Amino acid sequence: MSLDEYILELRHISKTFPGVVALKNVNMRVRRGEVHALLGENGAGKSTLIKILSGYHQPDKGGEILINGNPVAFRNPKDAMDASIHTIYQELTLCPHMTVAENIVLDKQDQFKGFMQKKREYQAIAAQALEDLGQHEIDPNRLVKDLSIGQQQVVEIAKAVTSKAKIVLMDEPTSSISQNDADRLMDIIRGLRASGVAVIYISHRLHEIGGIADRITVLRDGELVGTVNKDDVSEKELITMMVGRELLKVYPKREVPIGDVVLKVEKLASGELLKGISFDVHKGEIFGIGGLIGSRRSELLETLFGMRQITAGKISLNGKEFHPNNPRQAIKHKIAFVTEDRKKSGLVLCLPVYENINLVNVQQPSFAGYLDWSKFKAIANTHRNTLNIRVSSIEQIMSSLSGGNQQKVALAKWLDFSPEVIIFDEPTRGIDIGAKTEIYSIMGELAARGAAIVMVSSELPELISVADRIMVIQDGRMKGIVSKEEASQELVMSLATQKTQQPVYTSTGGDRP
Amino acid sequence: MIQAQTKPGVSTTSSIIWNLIIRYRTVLILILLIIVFTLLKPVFIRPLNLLSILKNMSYVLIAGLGMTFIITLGGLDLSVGSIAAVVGVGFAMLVRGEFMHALPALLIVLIAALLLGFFNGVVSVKGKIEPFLVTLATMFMYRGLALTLTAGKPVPIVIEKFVKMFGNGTLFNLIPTPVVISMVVLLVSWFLFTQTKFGFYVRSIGGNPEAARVAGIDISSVKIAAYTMNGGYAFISGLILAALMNSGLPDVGSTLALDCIAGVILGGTAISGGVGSIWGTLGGCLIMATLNNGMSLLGAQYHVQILVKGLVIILAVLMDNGLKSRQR
Repeated sequence: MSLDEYILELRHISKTFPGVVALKNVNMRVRRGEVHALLGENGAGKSTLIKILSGYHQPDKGGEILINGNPVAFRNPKDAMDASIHTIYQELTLCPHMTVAENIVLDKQDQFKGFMQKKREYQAIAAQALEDLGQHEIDPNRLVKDLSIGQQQVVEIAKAVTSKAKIVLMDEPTSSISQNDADRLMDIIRGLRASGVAVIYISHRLHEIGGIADRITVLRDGELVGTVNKDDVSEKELITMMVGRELLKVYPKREVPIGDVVLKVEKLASGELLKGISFDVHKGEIFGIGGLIGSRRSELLETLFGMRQITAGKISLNGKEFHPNNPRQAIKHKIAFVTEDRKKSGLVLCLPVYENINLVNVQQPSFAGYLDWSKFKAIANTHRNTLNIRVSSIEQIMSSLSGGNQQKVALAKWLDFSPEVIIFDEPTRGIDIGAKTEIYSIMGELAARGAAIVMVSSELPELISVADRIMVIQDGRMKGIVSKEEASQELVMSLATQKTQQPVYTSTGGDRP
Repeated sequence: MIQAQTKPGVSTTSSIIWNLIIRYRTVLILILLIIVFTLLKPVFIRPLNLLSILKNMSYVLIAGLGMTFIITLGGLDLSVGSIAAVVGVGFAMLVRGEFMHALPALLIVLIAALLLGFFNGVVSVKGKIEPFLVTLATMFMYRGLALTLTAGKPVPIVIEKFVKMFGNGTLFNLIPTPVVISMVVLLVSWFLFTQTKFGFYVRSIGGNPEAARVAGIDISSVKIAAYTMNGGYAFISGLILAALMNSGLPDVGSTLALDCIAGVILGGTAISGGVGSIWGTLGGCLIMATLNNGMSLLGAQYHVQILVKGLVIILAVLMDNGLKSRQR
């Protein structure tokens, strides 16, 4: 191979942490100007590889990183950036209270001489970078906190471009942005590729990778499974490479008899955020809620769970009116809420697994507040087995678990008071296909046991395949309810984006209120 | 974090040793200090001297145990020293000239201390103000209260029984009563912290308030309860101080809050909340008290002592960070 075909080459990269082998002898080559996808389940070693490439970790002895054929060693993130590798993390690393321009020049202060800030130069550089990316509508003088997550990502990319990055690593860039932002991101990535930048792209969304990647490297359990050309493999083959077995179905189907109405929402409003929301959810049903990011789906769920004030309309549970003022009251009425961001509001990351599983259980009355930890550990072990939570011990600290396992713990904590309504906000966000399928079958199992399930999802295939009916909302107003039979990605998308006056109901979608 | 850690099984001997070192670091430092001081000054290791270490640290340990809850909760309470002063002064004034019997006086002062703690909690929770700011303010307010009550003068306590019970008495003619009291408080605190719902709520709220809220835990009540309880810890601490001094001093305990915070931090409780240890606080307070005692025996002046104390805190935290990054 000629030296300049490959801009980046990894040879025999291993990484051992005390007690854990995270990467075993991984080889990978990235061409100049290609989009190279990195695929693998959680725990496959993707994050470790990214951290090695961005200088946070050093590989074990014997491993080599070559850039343009020259061996390099990164002692720290600065070294990696100096070697023209720029990483865009899942959790963006911008300063929210600074302007777009200030953020873009923050890592390039060496270029500016003197003691004073050069605001004009900053703006010029930022404006040029955004222009190059085709993003005129982002004003360099705006504060980053006022931008959407998708726009913030563009700012991150602008940062990379202006530091003359030749290799850009993107860790799950679309996990928290809307479809529109994701489409724009794809355009930008194509632009980067055309200008000769190599993009290493990590995502769980196979269809996305199919649309953008030139080649795909798959990792499993810290080992290299292989690198393939996108055109040579099917999505199915990729899944098999990732999980090491053929997944019969990503979305397991389960026929559950639909029972009586459990949760009924009538003309619900919460200030100006939500208005006129009406729907009902039956026993055994999975009720999906779709809409764009910012359509206030999460706000709706939070209102159901007593985290936001109800200003009009009513909620009833099994025919009885229910007005939750805080999560405690919602839980008392047998409602559970698996939140969107498990790290922010679902788990206490510094506590062990068994304490997290029992976060709700411990609130049961007990003599003088005494906690029988042996009982709670037994409960935790039961969940660990039934939900297949992969940990070496339930005493393990939560933060060391992979996303899928964390999500299972976030769910497990709700299961012991036999909730009648279970609310899921983005139940499979940021977790791999294997864990996703497990979560879907747990949801199916819960529905079969008689729970009414409400699920918000940004992933249209998930929404359409898992939910029995789907309500679409836009700006906190409902745009329609469609049944599973009639739902299509196009229909849901058009409801979510079009400015129609009257909500749309398909024939089997639901009763008109 | 390291995702592959979920795989069970493998752990090397060196990682086990490091984990042990990290786990028992306070004990190791303590043993080291004891060895050094014993070598330099053999009188250090005599039982009577060791007991005097325990006695001298008793009120700091008690305040530190309360502070362990507060810091684990993600909060801070700078006002404990001032509350302790109000307690001593209040009690001394109530029993002066046989105005009142000791028992009802104790009860009144206890309620006052709990109310002062409650005030900290309510203002911080309901007013949505950082506990640092609230207790900084109440530190001044409560100190002002103690000074105003006595016009700045000490109030002698003549009840011998009280002085014996909380200060200079001994159990079995050997163990000073403040040591006994602090050990009882230690055990009760350990039970509360590890075996009850309250302790669990404190840890989960400190670890992630949002997750605790979604799980249905009443964050406001737990916080207010913790600050109120801390008033109770300051009460016991204040009684011991008053008994040791034979009087209610309005300016007593001015460094109590910072001393006990130092002990708590040395014990491995995270200032960011969520992770705390009762035994760690015992260890941390022992380290500080051992240093004080040892240096006094060596003839070091107070000025030098506090300089060394500060240095030890920095070194301990540096070592902590070093060990933890090594663990990773």
